[in-house]
Formats: sequence, C-alpha cells, structure tokens
Amino acid sequence: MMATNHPQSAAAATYFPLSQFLYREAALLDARDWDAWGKLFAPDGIYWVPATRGQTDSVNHVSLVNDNALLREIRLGRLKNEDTSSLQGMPNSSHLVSNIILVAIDATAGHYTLQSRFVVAQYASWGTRTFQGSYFHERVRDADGELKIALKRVDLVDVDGPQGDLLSIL
Amino acid sequence: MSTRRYSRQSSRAFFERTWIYIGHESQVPRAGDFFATRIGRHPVVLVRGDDGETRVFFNRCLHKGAQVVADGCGKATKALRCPYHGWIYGFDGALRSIPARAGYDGGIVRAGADDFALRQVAATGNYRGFIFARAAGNGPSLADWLGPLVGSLDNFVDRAPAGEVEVAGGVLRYEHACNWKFFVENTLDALHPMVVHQSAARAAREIAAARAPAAKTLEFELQALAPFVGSYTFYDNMGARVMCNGHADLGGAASIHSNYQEDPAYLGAMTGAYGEQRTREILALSRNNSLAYPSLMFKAPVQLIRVVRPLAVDRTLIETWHFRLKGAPDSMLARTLSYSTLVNSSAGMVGPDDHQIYRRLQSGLATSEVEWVEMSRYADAGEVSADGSVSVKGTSDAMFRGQFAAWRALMRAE
Repeated sequence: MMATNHPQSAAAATYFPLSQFLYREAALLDARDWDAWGKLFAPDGIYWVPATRGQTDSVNHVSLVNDNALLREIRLGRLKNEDTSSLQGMPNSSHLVSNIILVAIDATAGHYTLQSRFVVAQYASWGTRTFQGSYFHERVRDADGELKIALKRVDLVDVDGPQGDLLSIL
Repeated sequence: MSTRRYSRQSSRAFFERTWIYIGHESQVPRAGDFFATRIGRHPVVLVRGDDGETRVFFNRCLHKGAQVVADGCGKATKALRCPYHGWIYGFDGALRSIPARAGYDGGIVRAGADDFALRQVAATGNYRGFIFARAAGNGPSLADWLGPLVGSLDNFVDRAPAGEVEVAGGVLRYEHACNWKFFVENTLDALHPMVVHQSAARAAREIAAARAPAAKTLEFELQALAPFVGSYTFYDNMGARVMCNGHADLGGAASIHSNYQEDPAYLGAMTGAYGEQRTREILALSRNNSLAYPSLMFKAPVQLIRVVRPLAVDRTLIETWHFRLKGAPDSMLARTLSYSTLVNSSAGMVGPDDHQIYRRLQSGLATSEVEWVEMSRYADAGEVSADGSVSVKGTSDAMFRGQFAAWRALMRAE
C-alpha cells in the first residue's frame, strides 16, 4: 500500500491497534482476568514500578514492583488465592488510559514504544485510593499477530511521598 | 480523655522519652550534609559539622520557629539558613548572623548567643555508624540502653568484609493505618507467617516444586518466599532472645534467611577478610529481625532496616533503608533490594498482607468489652544468660511481654 510508505501514515496506521491494545490491557485488569493480562508480556517482559522519580536502575535501587515472568506468576497466583489477607477487602479497580503518544518506532526491530497517562481508582473495603501517573510501554512487538510488551514502566506522580497499599496492578 | 492527658500518653510522647534511631552516619559523609527526620512530634536534623562531628538538633529556628531544613537528605554549602527571615546557623548549631541586626542592638539577640543556637537534643550516640538520639530527659547511655543487643548490630556490620556498611539503593516509605505497636510486635511474631503469608509463599513453593529436580539453584525470590510457610517447629527452633528495654531478636540458630545460597565471591571476600572460622561464626548467626525498641528493626542477613515513625495514634510511617556491605560484591546489594521490593514494598507480596492484619487489630481492639490481649505463650520458659538476656523459643510471647514492660516503665516514669 502506497500510504504506509509515508512515515506519518505508517504511524497513523499503527496508532489505532496500539491504542486499542492499551485499552484492552486496562479492561483485562479491571475484569480481574489475571492470566490474560500476564500473557500480554513477552517471555522476558518486565512490569516495573520505580520507587523514585527518574529512576533508571532496577538492580541497584529498590522498586515498588519489579516483576519478571517468575514474579508475575507468583503475584498472579497470590491474586487468585482467596486466603490472601490484603485482598479480603475485595479490591476493585478502574483503569483510565489517555494522552497516548507513539514515542518511538523501530522499523528494523519491528517494535514500538508508547507513552500514556493513567488514572487508576483502587477500591478496597477501607476506602478508595487513586493512583495517577505515566505509563511507558516499551518495545511492544507484534509476535505472530499478538502484541507483546517487553517493558511496562509505571511512574507514579506521587512516588517520592509515602505510599499506601498498592494492591492493584497499575 | 483530656487533650493534655492524651498528649502525655500519646504514641509519639513515648518516642520522645527514649533512644530513637535517627539515621546512619553514611547519610551525612561530609560537613554540611544533613538528614532531617522526627523523634515523635519533634522535627530533628542530623548534621555533620566542620569538625567532623555529627549532631542532632531540633529542626526549629530560634526566631519564629520555622523548620530550618526540609525533611529528608540534603547538603548545605556554607551554613543552615532559615527560609523565613534568613537567620543563619553554623553546622555546629551556633547562630552566625541575623539580617538587619541593628534592630536588636542592646537586646538579647546576637550572633553567638547560646540561647539562640539551634537546640541540641538531650543525648546522641553512635554505635558502629548507627546514630541514635534521645530528645529529652535523663537516661542510660546508648551502650547501656542497647545492652546485649549490640551483638546483633555487630553481626549486621561484621557481615561486611571491610567491617563497615553504608546506606545505598534508595528508601521505601510505607504509611500504615495503625498504631506503631502492631508493626513492632509483628516483626518478632513467629506464629503469623504461615497464616498471613501463605498465599505468596505457597505460590512460590508450587513453582519451586514444579522446577526440574535438576535445577540446582532456585531464583532468589523463591528462596526468599518459601520459608515464610515454615513449620511451627522450624520457627520454635530458630529461637529468640529477650533483652533490656524491650529489645529482642527473633532467630539466631536459624532464620528464614539461613538457607540462602550465598554468592561464592562474597564468601571468598569474607574468608579473605576474617578467615574461615570467623566467617562461619558470623554467617551462622542468622536472625529474622532484631529490634531496638521501639524505633529500629534490623535484618542483619539481608542488610536492611525498618524505621518506625509514629504519626498519630492510628497512623505510622515505616521506612525501609538498605545497606551496602563494604568489600562485598555488588550482588549482595542487588539481593537486598530484590528482597525489599518483594517483601517490604507497599506493592509487595508480603507487607500489604501484614498491613491488613494491623487494620484488623486497630479495629478489633476498639471494643472496650474485653480489656486484655493474650500473651502467655511459653510463660516463664526461658534461659537467662550472663549478659541478662533471656533465650526463648521462637514462637514465645516473651518478646511482646518485654515490649509492654518497657513501655509501661517508661510511660510511668516522670
């Protein structure tokens, strides 16, 4: 197709499925479809919530979350366990994703990096808390017709302040 | 209850009467470096002076009372300057200069006046880099107050091949909706992990079991989580130690950390520094948690501390600080940070489950119909050592009895 040879048009053609991908991810989390959410990641994919602003290192600096496939499996196993005490308050979430920017296209490697903003409401029996900040979905790649995330980075706007329970997956 | 009575008996008032952990000397390495925190309700600041000494001041300008430096770490180049009217203090606390000083001519306000120097806390002490302060009153020296607990702090530092530790890797600040006592008690409670942390530990055990038996090394996170569902016998046999002033250790002969596969490079560095026998002694002492009651919990085998800052009767800030073992390979700090992200984070797989229990305690104890809690387990079953510490089983309630005895003694003292 002629149009996709033009970089602007290529971006436009990829923007729709990529933005839909972010919305679908949000919907899976709100539906508590943990296994389907886990499968959005590449086998070596990471879900990362840094513990300070501008953090670049997840090895020599502590994080709020730094889940590889193994830790994702444990986290999701825990979410599915009815005896988990912090989940007795029946946490529920609503993920809103907006301001999506396609910040990088690596045509050679065939992957994309997306920046967006989020508002996540987390309800538990003791109250509702709202988390806000930026998502970076890095090196999102089409693998046999399914998009897979290499790194999902979550920057909380209030990360440098004291944190309350973060029970939801952001 | 009158406001005055509440004030005297409040959680934070208790912290104002005893030795409180402030910070580690590695947080203020050079003159002008400061770390501002709290002792109960008092804002305080640890400052490194030009003379190399560390001092702890009430963080309050002697003019109108503004907090002089903001909370947290910072560095002043020449002096500490109040952000309100610009009064300037030296790193030793002395009032150096006042803007528009002509207006004070002939009065009591002048540079160098003792009454207008930053007020120091009643006492400070440094044990192998860990700096404590007591806001007010008389009391024992830091060494006398710590008593036999210094052995546990020694083990924290001795695990560094170079014999020194330093703060590294950032801090976690986790606000808890509960009284500080629940957190402190729980760090030494060996009857809860198999119940409260069953969900994460069981998931980890199932994954570990599914690994091919040929897998000789398990990922650190699996090694870390699995022991949380250890048996009651395992926790009993690790032992505990109850000491003066509410201090205690859980674990010693073993701990949830004692079966970690150590990095051979670390063992090599330790052996090179201490020799084989001393290295074995240092690493054989494995404690889940040691408590310098009421403000400092430390985990020597994973090089991290939890610091307790009561905010209100039902709000407590828990800070987790991490340490680099000087002379050890980088893998040791990385392991500490992995552990903390997994366990101590507000988004972790262990801490939020504990926090939920503290909420239940805060709520359940609101009823006045039952006026006691039960803590008789292994009553009077302990072995007293020459240093006055009492060795008990790991699931004993003796640690809690010790905490409340210390609390009562201090709150009754005038």
